Amino acid sequence: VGGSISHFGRLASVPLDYLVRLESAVRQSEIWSTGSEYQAIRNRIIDICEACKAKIFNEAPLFHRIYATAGEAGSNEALSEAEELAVRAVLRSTAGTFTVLHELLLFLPRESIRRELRDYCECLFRGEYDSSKISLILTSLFNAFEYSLDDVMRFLEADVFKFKIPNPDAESAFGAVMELAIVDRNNPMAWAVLAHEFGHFLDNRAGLTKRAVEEFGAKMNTTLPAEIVRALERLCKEIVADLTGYYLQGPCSIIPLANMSMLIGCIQDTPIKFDGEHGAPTTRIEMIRALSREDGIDISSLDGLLGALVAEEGQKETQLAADEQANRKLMHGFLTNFFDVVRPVIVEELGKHQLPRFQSGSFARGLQLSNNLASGLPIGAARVHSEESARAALLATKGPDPPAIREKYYLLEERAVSVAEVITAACIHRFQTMSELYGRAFDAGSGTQAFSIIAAGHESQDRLVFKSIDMIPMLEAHSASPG
Amino acid sequence: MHYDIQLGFLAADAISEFSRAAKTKEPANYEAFLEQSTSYCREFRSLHSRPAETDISAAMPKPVADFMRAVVKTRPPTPAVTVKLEAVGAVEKLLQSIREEQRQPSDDECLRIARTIYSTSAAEPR
Repeated sequence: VGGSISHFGRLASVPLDYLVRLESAVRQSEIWSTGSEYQAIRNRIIDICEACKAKIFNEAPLFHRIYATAGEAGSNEALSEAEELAVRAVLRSTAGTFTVLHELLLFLPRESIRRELRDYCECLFRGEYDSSKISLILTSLFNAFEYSLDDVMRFLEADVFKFKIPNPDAESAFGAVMELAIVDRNNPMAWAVLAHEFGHFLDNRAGLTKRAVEEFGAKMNTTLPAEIVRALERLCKEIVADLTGYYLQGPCSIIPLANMSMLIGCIQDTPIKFDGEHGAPTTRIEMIRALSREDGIDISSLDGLLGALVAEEGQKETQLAADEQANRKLMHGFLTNFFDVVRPVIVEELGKHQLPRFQSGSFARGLQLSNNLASGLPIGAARVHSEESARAALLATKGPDPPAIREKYYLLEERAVSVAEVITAACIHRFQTMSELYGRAFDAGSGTQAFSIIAAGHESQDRLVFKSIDMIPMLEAHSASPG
Repeated sequence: MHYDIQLGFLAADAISEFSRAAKTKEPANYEAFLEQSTSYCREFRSLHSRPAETDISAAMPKPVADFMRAVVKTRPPTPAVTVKLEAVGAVEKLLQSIREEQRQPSDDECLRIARTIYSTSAAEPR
């Protein structure tokens, strides 16, 4: 299995990142719920994390080399086969350990979501987000979900529920639920997945899938059998969710899926399959790339991660039997064509809702804001006028004329940016700083120091993003207020 | 998917020793690689092995043998695990012959062992 050294840098960052975040989530839970009843499970999780970290640090010289070289543009240096196997084995062990331990978080008290995540949802989903109709909770599965709690209630058969709950046939007694993985509570980059999940919520209420599949049938000029319609609807629901994610959050809406797929990819030798609903990650990435291209969004700053995943999955696909490869190609072709047909209908439907659409300007601003993030500044607001035009106008004043200059202070006005732009900036910044952070960590004298450096790097970036999101509702309210 | 943390740690340890041996060519690293590989194979077998028809000896009392047969039928290993067990079995034989011949493994043998450990440590999709 080939691959340039920079490829392994991108591959490695995902499991390493998540292991560090998991440990930090467990240590944090120790602070706010000190009950000894949880001590045994917490201690065991921490012990396993420590053992895993020790194994990673055994390969520190190799990781240091990877990140030192990954930072150099155009580096095509390759690892020897023995080195590559060693890196892959330790990443498999890290990713596998993380996924198992994350499920064990079920046994710890469930934390509530962060205030900033609620702000993110309120700002991104606007009037469509009604916390009296949709709950947002954390889950011990390393995944994200949207489902109707009423549907769950209908499946409950215990007598106690039958007597105690309100009539589940009444319209939406419990509303919907969106779930985010516990480890992502403090990981704002991962919150973008909720834009996809919110697409499911919107779809269930507004019937986007139904209309899109009807349109598909009409374009095919045929009456589709009920069974085929149901299969297409299952497919289309995910396309609606992906498109909603892109509509609201732009290309970064796919980053959580790419990270999740990268982790799964580390653990298994076969490529991730189309499961009857979700297209293979490579297909979904191609759809997002196509949308970005059409919208004039240059995603090269994110493409390292996406490209690494596509390369990994492509490599595994070549190991499959010929008929399996042909089947994957067929599914990919059908899904991308289906996507092309249903997309205009879905986008038109999304346009009927009061939702802020992510556009090429949003991505450009995200790119610009990532520079401020790199300077250690919160990015919840940005100048309305460019630095150049403000400077030119202020310098154009003849001589020292304070009243005239004061009149031009409006040129320094700042307004709230969108939460989607903040998350975009955070993703770009993370990818830009990854090699430096990990390179510095693996240059440390001990494993403890190395992982402290990584954790501190994440925390300082995340804190700035939380601050940025925190200020947006207040700034928006200020801008909206008269005068 | 099912993933075993302990087995994954053993695989990482063995392959890490292989990488070190390939770089240093030190006998101690080769020795550590062989030891870790043996531990991995042992753990793999204890984790995945199921009783087979051949484990039921003729000397066994009939009720015990019948019980064993019933167990064999109810818990057959999956095809993927069967393939992996065969691969691990082949590596165990190779490790044993290297030990018996009291020699250092060749580069090709090392690579074969490491590749098998890596591929058998993969989780199977559900």
